[in-house]
Amino acid sequence: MKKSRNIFFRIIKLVLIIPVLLLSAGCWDYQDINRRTISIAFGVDKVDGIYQYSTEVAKLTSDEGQAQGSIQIPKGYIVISEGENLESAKIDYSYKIPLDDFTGGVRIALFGENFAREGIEAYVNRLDNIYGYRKTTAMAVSRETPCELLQTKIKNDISTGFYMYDMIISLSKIGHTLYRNLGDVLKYIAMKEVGFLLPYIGKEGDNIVYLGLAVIKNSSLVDILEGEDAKGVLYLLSERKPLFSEAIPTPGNKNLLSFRVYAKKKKINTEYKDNRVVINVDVSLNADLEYEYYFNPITKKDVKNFEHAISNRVENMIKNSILKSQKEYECDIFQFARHFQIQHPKIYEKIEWTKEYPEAQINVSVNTKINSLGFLDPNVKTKF
Amino acid sequence: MKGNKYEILTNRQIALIVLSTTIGYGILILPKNAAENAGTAAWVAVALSTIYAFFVTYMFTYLGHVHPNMTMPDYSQMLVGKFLTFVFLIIYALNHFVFFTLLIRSVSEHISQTVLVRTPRAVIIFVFLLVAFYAVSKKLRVVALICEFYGVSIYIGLVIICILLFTQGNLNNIRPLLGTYDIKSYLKASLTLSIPFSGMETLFAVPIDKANGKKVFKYTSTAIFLVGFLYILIVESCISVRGINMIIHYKDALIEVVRSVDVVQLEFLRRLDGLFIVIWIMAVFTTVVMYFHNTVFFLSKCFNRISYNIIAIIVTIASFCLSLLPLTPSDIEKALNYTAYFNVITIIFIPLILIILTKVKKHEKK
Repeated sequence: MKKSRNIFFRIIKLVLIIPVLLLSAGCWDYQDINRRTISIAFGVDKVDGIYQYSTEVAKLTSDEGQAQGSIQIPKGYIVISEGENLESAKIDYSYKIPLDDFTGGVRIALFGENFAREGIEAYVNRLDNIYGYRKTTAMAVSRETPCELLQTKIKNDISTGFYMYDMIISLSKIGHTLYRNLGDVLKYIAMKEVGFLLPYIGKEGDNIVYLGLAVIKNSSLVDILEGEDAKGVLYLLSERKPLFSEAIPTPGNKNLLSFRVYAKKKKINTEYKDNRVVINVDVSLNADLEYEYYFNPITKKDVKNFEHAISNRVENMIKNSILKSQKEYECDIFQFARHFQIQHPKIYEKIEWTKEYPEAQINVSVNTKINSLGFLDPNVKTKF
Repeated sequence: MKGNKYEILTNRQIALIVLSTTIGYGILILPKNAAENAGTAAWVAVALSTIYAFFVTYMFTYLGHVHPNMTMPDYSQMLVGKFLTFVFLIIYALNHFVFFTLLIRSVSEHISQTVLVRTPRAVIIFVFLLVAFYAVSKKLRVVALICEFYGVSIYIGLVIICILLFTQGNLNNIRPLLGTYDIKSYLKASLTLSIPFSGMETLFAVPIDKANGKKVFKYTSTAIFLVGFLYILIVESCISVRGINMIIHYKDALIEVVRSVDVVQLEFLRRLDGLFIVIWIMAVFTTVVMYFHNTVFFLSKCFNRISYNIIAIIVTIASFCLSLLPLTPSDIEKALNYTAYFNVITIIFIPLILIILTKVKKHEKK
């Protein structure tokens, strides 16, 4: 009798507790997803002395007149807000959105060129201290104003913000650009003595395209690296194996051979000799033959020559970009400082890296090994 | 003394009480404190602190071991008399009370800044205290069971998170492993880690039986070394992700670092913060429950006439009122640091006195 009463009380307790738990879950912080303004991408720029925010916001409701029952893909729309300083631009933004701002979904933050030249540090610090922003938000510099860029109609992605983010990620996977996020940028700024690089994108015709790398020194934009210079940097800096096709001419320019080249190993050794920083950069490359322009036999000697030619070409690219960073920018965009600090922590404390770097002796050596010539046999004997 | 007065715990439970009480709020501030003074050699500082913690834990286990089936109030009465025991108990009860109230307060601060932005802080504190009170009212065995179950989950969860952080980190960030070989800085840094490593003093309310045998030493010291290992993992993984120059800026470095990675391979679990906050709250909960239990236990030993549960209710209300004082986060930090200084008395001074007296008594008997 007593036992059955106990069970009875237990059931009553459960029945009382469960609804209370379920109902109290959303007492204060519950908010439905369509009661929020979800921003996907945003950009800042300075246009005629006024700060301009452009934010791409996910549109969760369907357009009027859209046929019912059709598949609904969330698209974005743009909110543009302006102000004399960053704070008033932000306030202007909050006046223009109807619902609570949710920043946890932001994929990419763009800096207009004008703004980047002035300096991004203050803004990056602002993002750091606003809890909503993820440290994995990608960062890029845009040639056009972010407002113009974000208004581009994209055909093959959900929204412009996603498109730019996906573009940077997929290009960085094959080593053609560097993916740098808020956390990375904060890390470089905290190191003070080094510069860094951000992807540089722009609009060409109706398309958003990747243009090169923006060089940031003392957290302001100083130059854009394009073409061969950018390649040299990427061979050194890209975390994934950078992969480029290099067409190498045969002696006498009779034929061209296209090779897929990737950096297998990068070794950076530093020394401090005679009051001068010495940095030895060793890069070992691997190359695979993609195809020959015209089908010709390849001898072992040719292979050696090609290896040499590839090494020379890449070495020059790297050397040029390092020289540019030393003489033109006077800024360590390769973060050699970190390697020096690891290898000589005590000397690093004494010297002033920003003064030492432009004068440093940097030796670059590149070794290439051609791994495969593909499955076509170039040395085939044509008797018949 | 009287026969089986206390519920007897297994060695595993005792070890997990040490482990889960030690791991708690401290893991947030650990990377900053260690890195600020020792740089990339932060792990050396943590290792040194682990060794100090090992000796202290050994002292507490020793006291429990030589007085089988007794807690601190019992053997202290034998050794130093009634009045001093009363003073000791009040000191411990006050220290523990202030400590766990401050913990609840700062945890609620973090929760209201991160996950529950609009929930009033009083509600968070109230719910936290209510659950803790329920556990404490069931006495030591239930508290030990919570520690046993939670301790394992917290440990495994945190190790997994650290490994995931390492996969996103860069080896260059944690080099040079020995910093600038400045031994003074290692020592200085190791002394700043007293909050993450405090927790073994709760063993004063845990009776160790004859049946536990000498193995109990092995268990408690393993627990402390496991904690040390986990702390090294935490510090190194944080530094490997964000680098030394960044870590030192953040007071809650661990949350910052966990929020700053995106483990793409995990698909829908790619953002680790949800997982981390759950584990961290569990970790703080075990710490709070154990300190809460000890406060109530010591007070009930001081005031024999009042029943355990009534004291528990009074402590809950007092703690709730104290945690609602309008303090700024920096005040709380200061207060936490003061309690850490005070720990010198509760963790080192009083147990040492008791050990010396135990030795003297033993000698007299011979």
